[in-house]
Amino acid sequence: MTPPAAPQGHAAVDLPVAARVPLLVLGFLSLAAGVAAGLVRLGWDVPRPAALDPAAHGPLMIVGFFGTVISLERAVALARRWAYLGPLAAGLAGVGAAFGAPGTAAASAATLAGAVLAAGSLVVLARQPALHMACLALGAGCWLVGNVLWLAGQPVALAVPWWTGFLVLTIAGERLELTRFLPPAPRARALFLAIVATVIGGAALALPAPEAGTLVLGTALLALAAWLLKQDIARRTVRQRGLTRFIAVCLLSGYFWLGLAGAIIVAAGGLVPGTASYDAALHAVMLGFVFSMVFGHAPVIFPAVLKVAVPYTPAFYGALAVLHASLVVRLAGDLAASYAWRAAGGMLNALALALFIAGTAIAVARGGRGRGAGTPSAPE
Amino acid sequence: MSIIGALKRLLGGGAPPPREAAPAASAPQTDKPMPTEDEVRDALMTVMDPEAGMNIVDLGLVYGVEFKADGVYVEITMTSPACPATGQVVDEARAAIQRIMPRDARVAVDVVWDPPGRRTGCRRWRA
Repeated sequence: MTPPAAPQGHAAVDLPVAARVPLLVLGFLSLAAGVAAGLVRLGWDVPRPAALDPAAHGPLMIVGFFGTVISLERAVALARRWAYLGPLAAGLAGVGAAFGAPGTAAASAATLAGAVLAAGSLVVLARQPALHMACLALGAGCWLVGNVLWLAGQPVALAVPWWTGFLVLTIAGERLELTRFLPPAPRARALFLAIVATVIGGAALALPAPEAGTLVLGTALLALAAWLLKQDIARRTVRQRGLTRFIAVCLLSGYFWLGLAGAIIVAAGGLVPGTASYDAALHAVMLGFVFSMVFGHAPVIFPAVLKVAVPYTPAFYGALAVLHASLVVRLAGDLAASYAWRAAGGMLNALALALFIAGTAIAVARGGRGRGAGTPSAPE
Repeated sequence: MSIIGALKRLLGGGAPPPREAAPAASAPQTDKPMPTEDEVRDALMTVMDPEAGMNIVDLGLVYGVEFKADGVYVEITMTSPACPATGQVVDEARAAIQRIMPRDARVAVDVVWDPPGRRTGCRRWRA
């Protein structure tokens, strides 16, 4: 019997496109505040809300920005209004953290967002019981756990392994989904499942034993990077042109940073907050891996979520190049214990993100409404 | 090429790249016969997956084309119900088919998720 199709005529219960824009604005406000907080932590004096706590850098980036964007994508896929409570709560959590909301307001909103995303992920898992869907659901669960830890007043460093699991499993699940075009062998799927279990196991172990748990997590990240480099369809699509190649380049370069992050964690024997290896590994994951994914998929996601065209242009490579170069500078600073280089790298990280936002906005302005994603074979 | 010209090309200035599946204009579609299944599939080959760089027919995402008295009913799948681009692909597929259909003919595009026994995998990559 054919499984039930995705609901037809769902437009009446989905959120209109115009109403999604404020949610994305909340996400990008969180991004701006998160970047400002990060730069302040590196010693830069940048414009920022007076109540912004530099320690909110992590929650702003992971909850306020990534959480809002990923929740928004999931809500659009579900096409149900209740699902948009997720990105709304995540965005408000970010704004709350940026402007010094009292008590646990921001963390409470984050926990609500995590619960909504987890519920939405279970709904899509029920539609299609498959390994990649389970991976997405587990990723959402990791985010919820991390947000609960934040709500419980635990140090952000205890939430970080779970938040890392959220982002890594979400991306890994989406990449596994696309391997249907070149299905991996059963042994490779079993290995993927083992890596997922290790990510979660490492995050869990990090609660009573932070260094041991993050060492396990780092090993899983290294293994996942190797798995993705071998199995991802990007190995094929990088030979194509235009937007398709750009996405593949973003993916493959991101896997390099994921692997390097894992290697750094393993070499350091685990993550210890305040150390150079902590800074290097986390930014290799979050900037090098996760933001590479964001750069590559913006030309696809913006049309899907906002019904705007984002025509591909080779200029997109500019922001990607600055992102990678900035990470080289930052990690060189971490390796050489040079505060100046680390700070310079951080400012270049911010420049890369600014270039990405500007480039995307320019592409949207060029494309006009309703023309869809960039043509894969656009000339270079 | 001048520096200005090179910058314009780099930034994608000038005419935007042509789209393979432009939205249908509201031109009259009288006198069009009902297309064949092959013609419907050819129309669907203009619907691209930008990540794979291939059309949804070659990607194996078109499961069935059925003609009824009032129009054509197409079953497609996506890689995941968590994909936010599903609606966009459905809209593009519907528009692509509508362009070759007689006026007033119904075009229905349904999304199904991995029915058992259905073929998956990309034909061109497996070749």
